[in-house]
Amino acid sequence: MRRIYLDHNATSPPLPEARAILQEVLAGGWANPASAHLEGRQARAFLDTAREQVARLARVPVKGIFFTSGGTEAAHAALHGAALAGRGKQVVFSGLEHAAVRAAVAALVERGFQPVEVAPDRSGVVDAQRFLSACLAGDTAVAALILAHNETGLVQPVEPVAAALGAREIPLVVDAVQAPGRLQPILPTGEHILGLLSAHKMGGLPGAGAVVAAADRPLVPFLGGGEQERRRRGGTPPLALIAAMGAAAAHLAGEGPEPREQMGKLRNKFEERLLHEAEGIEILGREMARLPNTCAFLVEGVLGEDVVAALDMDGVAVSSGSACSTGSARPSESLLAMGYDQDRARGLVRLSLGSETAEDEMDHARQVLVTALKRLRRYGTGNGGS
Amino acid sequence: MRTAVALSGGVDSSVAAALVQEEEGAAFGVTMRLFAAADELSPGGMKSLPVAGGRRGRCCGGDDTDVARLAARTLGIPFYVLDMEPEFRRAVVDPFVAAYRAGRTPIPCTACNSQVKFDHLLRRALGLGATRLATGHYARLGRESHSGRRTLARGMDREKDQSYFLFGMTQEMLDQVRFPVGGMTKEEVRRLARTHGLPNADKAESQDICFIPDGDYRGFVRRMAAEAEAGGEIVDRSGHVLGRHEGLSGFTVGQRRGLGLGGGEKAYVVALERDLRRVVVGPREAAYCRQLETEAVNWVSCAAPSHDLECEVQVRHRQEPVPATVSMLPHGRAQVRFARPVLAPAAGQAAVFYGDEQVLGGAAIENAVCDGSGRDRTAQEAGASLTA
Repeated sequence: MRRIYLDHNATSPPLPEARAILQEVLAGGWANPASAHLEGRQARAFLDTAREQVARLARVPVKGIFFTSGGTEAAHAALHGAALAGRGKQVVFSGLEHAAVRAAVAALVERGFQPVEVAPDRSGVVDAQRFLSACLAGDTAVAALILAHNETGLVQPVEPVAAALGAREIPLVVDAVQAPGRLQPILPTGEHILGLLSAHKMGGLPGAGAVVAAADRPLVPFLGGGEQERRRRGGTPPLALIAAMGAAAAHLAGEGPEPREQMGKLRNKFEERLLHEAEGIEILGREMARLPNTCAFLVEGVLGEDVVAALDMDGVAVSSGSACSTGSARPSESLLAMGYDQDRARGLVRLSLGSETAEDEMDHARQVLVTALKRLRRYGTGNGGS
Repeated sequence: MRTAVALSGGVDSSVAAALVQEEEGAAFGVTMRLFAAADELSPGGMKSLPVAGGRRGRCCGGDDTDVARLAARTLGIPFYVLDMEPEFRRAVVDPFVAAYRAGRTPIPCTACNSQVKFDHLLRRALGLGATRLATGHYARLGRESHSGRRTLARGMDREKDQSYFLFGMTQEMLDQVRFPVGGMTKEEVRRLARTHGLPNADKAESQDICFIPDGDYRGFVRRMAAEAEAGGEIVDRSGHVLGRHEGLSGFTVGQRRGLGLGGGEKAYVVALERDLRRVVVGPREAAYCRQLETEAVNWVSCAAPSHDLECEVQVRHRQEPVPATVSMLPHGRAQVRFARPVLAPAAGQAAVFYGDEQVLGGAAIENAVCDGSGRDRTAQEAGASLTA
C-alpha cells in the first residue's frame, strides 16, 4: 500500500545528505575523535565539520555548540547546567514545555529549586508579560520557554522574553527542536540563550542533539566523564549520528524560503477544505503564528488515537499529539494547560508535513481522513460519548 | 473486510488473532488500556521524579501490552493500544467499589464484557473499519436456522469455559463478534501458539481481577473509595451480637475466614444486611439457598419465555449447574427455584441459565433467599433438605 507520512514533528525521514555521510563515517571516521592518531583525527574532522554546520544554521560561533545524545539530554544538560552554575532559587517554565524539559525541571525541584509554571492562554500562547513577571518576581536561576510547540505548532514570544531576560542576565532555555526546516532563523541569538536541538526532527537520525550555548557561559556538566565537548558533555559522542545531523543542518542552512512557503500553502489548503468537508473540527491556532508544516485540530465526538489507527491502516501516518506520551492514558499536558478538559483533549489529531510532501498526498490524506471521521462518528465512541 | 482482535497479552487471544489472520488475512490487534499506572493517577507530575519500573496493572498496561504487541508483530498484523481508562473506570471500577460497599459481591468481568469489551471496544473497532471483533473467549457462537437467532454455548474445553461471564451479550453483539478458540481445548490453543511462534505459548493463566493484580481487592476497595466505610455488627441468626466489622466490603456470603470471631463452631457469612450494616453468620447449612430473585434477565440463546422454564442454573463461574425452575417476574426480573439447595449465591454475582450447553440467559442476583426475614425459614428448609 502507498504510504503517506505526515508525522514529521515526531521524526523527519533522514535527508539524502544525512544518509550519505553515514557511509563515509562508517568507512573512515569510526575511530575515537579524542585519539591522537590519524584515525582519531579523521574521526575528529567529521565532528568539527558537523559543529560548523550546526553553528552556521544556529547563527552562532562554532564554540557555541555542544553535542548530546538527543533533545532530551540537551534539555537536561541546559537546565541542569545553567541552574547549578548560578545562584538563583527558582525555575520558571511554561505550561507548554515538552516532557523532557518538564522532567529536567522536576529533577531540579528534587535538588531544592522552586518550580514556577506559567500557563498559556486558551489560544495556546504564553503571554510574554506574564512570563517575564514570573521570572522577575523571584530569584530566577533559569527559565524555559519553547520556541514553537510540537503539538500545535504555535510560535511563542521567545524574542521579547529573551531580550528582557538577557538584559538581566537570566539564562533562558529555548526548546527549538521543531524549528529547523520550519522556521528561519531557528533561534534568536543572545549570550544568555540556551537553545535545544534534536537531529531526528531536522532530517538527521535519533540519538544526536545539541545545546546552543555561548562558549563562556558557565555550565555544570550534566554528564561528567571526560574532557569531551570542551568539558560540557562527558562521553564519546555519537559521531555518526552527529555527522548526519551536521549534514542535515547544512542542507537546511542552504535552503531558501520556498520549502517552508510550500508546506504552509499545502497545509492551509488542507485545512480550508477539511473544514468544508468534515464537521466538528476545531483547528488550533489557525489565525496565529505557527509552524508552516503543522496542522493540529480537535475533533468533536472522535478520539484522536482512533483517527491515528484508522488512517494508519489506510496508509496515512499521523499522530494524536506528542509521540512521547502516546500510549499514556493522559491526554496532552499542553492542551490541559490551555484549559481544554480531558474529554475534549482526547480528540487531538496532528498532521505535520515535510518539505517533500506533495499536493496529491495531502488530497489523498484528506479524503481518507474525512471518510474515517464519518465512520468513527457513526459508532459514537468519541470524547464525551458513552 | 477487516477483523479486529482484542489482544490481552494472553495466549488465547493471540491464537484467536492467528486464526483470524490465517483465514481472512486482514486482522488487526487492539489492546485496551484500562487502568492508569499509580504514578499517572497523581496530577501534575511535578511533585516527584518518575520512577522507572513502577507499579503497573499487570493486565492493563506495561508487561501484558508489550506481550500483545510482540504477538501482533509475530503475526505481522497492525497493533494499536486504545485508551479506555475513563470508560473502564465508569463502567467497571466505580460500580465494583460501590457494590462491595453495599454488601454485594460484584463480577467485574461481566460488566467489562457487556459494557466495555463488547460495547465500547466493539464500537471503536467498527469505527476503525473492522466488520467484526474477535476475542480469545472460550465460548461458542451459533445460529438457529429457523429463527435466525444467535446462540451462545459453553466453550468446548469445559475446564476453560467462559460462557458464564458472557450472559450479558445482546443479539447485536453476538452478531458482530467471533470466538475463534471457543471450539478448541487449551492444549490445542497452546500447540497452535507454538506453531505460530507466539511469545506467550506457555504463559501462565491469569486468575486475578485484572485491575487488582495483587489480589487484595478489599485493600483496593478501601483505597478507591472517597470516604471511609462505616463498620457494623457481626450477629448470629437470632440477632445476638458476636463482634464488630469495619465495613461490609470485607465480606462475601459463604465466607468463613477473616471473621475474627475466635474459636467455637465454624461460622459462615450467611447474609449481608446493607441497611443495618450487619454481617449475619451461621452454620454452613444456613448459607444454602433454595431460591433467589434476579435483576432484569438478558435472554441470549432464546427469547424471554412465556411460561416457567426448566433449565440448569449456575450461580458462580466454577460450579456444577443445578436443575432449577425459572419463573418470570414483572420488569423482566426472574425467580429461580433450585431443585436442591445451592451454597451461598451472593447478591451481585450472576445467575446464568443453561439449556444443554447453551446460555439461555442470565442476570445479576438481586437477593438470594437466605437473608432478611426469610432467613430462618430458608435455613430450616435448607437444613432439612441437607439432612433428608
